[in-house]
Amino acid sequence: MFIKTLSMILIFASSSMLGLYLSRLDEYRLKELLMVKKMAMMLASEIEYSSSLVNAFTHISERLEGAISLLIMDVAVELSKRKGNTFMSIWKKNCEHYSRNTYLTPVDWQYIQDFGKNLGYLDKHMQHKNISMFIHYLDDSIQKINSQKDSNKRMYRSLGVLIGILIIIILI
Amino acid sequence: MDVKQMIMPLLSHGIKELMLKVKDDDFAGFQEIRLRVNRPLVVNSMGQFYCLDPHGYLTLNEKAGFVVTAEAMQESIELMSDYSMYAYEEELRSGYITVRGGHRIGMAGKTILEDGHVKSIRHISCVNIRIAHEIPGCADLVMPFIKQDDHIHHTLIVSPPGKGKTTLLRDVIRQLSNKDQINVAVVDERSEIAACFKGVPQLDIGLKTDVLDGCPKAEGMMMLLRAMGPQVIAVDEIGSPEDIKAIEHIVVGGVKLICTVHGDSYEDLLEKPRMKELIEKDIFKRLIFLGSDETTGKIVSVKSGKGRELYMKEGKTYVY
Repeated sequence: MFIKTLSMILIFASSSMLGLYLSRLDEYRLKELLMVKKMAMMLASEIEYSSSLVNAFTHISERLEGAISLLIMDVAVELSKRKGNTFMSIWKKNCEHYSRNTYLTPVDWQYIQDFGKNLGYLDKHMQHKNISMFIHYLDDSIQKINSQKDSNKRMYRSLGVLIGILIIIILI
Repeated sequence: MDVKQMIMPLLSHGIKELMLKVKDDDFAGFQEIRLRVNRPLVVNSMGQFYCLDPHGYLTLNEKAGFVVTAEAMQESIELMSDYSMYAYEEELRSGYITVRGGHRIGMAGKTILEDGHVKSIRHISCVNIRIAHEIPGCADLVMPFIKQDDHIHHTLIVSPPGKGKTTLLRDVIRQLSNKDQINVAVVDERSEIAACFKGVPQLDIGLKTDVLDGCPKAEGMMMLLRAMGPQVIAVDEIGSPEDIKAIEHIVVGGVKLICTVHGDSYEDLLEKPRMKELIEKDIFKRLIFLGSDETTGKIVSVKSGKGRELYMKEGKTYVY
């Protein structure tokens, strides 16, 4: 009886915890999207003052945290080695590496990769246009998360608890 | 860091591998490296144009030359601009960028116009890496004419384009600064004299020399006069009405001038209204003329401001 009760408590706790974790995914993604937006805005300022991408990424990575900070730091290091690879190939390789360690979606990463396609190319006007298009996408995503996150949060929490109860009922 | 070490990081992987095969002695003679998409790589070695075969040997046979691909060009351009072409936006309007070491990279491709002026260049398909060479001591011959006892004369170096006036001016600046301990201020509008990279001179222009890089000459001369307290101001390629006005102002202020101008003779200068005005006012006390024949840097004549011959070397040429 004791073992059965303990098992039911464990199932209920695990299910609720899973629901809690899923309810927070939007928040984690939101936090990372905000970090990406911060990076893009800082990059716009650096470009305005004609910093090279290596210098810009180095400065910005010091003021950010998490995977985005590591991503641009690694890109800066690789660029400064001047091994002859194109910026796009370096950016893409690092995006693919860091996409595994974040809460951002594959679509978010696709946009980040596309953002890199025009970085460094042509003049400042072109750079600012590229950055503002990217920020536009980020703002849309952030807005969408903000409008859905509370209802998603409630839904996942409730689902976690309810699924736990359902499993217990089936087992009984 | 030698020239080869400075040039290598500017080139794509394939071109770099080719250049590594070039003998150091051959590379030391390179004045230009020209890249053109889908055409052979060409180097200007001591005034003669050669292709490079896949083993890095100089050849006159174009068919045996190493061909530059579009990808190699793209990679090279990214490396030359430090992956940041936008940072060179202003320079690119003039058709070139200056990189570490003072080397100038001319670029050509599809120009983008705005209000009838070149805004930028895209689809760059031709690149000319002009390797900066310093010739320390090339001004030895003219220094006694420029500085006599403790007096420095206002000096004008006159030569046709590409005949070494900037190289000569650079050495005059260096010698005044280092040997004579004179504070020299340079307005380097086109980054040719000091070849600044991020504001730091890449060529030796002396320990007591201040450089205002990328600034219009007339404005720069006035800024330096007010801000840096120079004894000598040096500028390259004067000629605009604003330059003449600034020169007259500086002369009144007691600061000495070392300038260059395009031209090939005293008579040629007198045909240019603004130069004629300066000569008639007897501002420049020394006029140094470089020759217009194939030899670069041949000093053919030194005249006083009134056109009296002070030095003329015939027969032997002074070459750097």
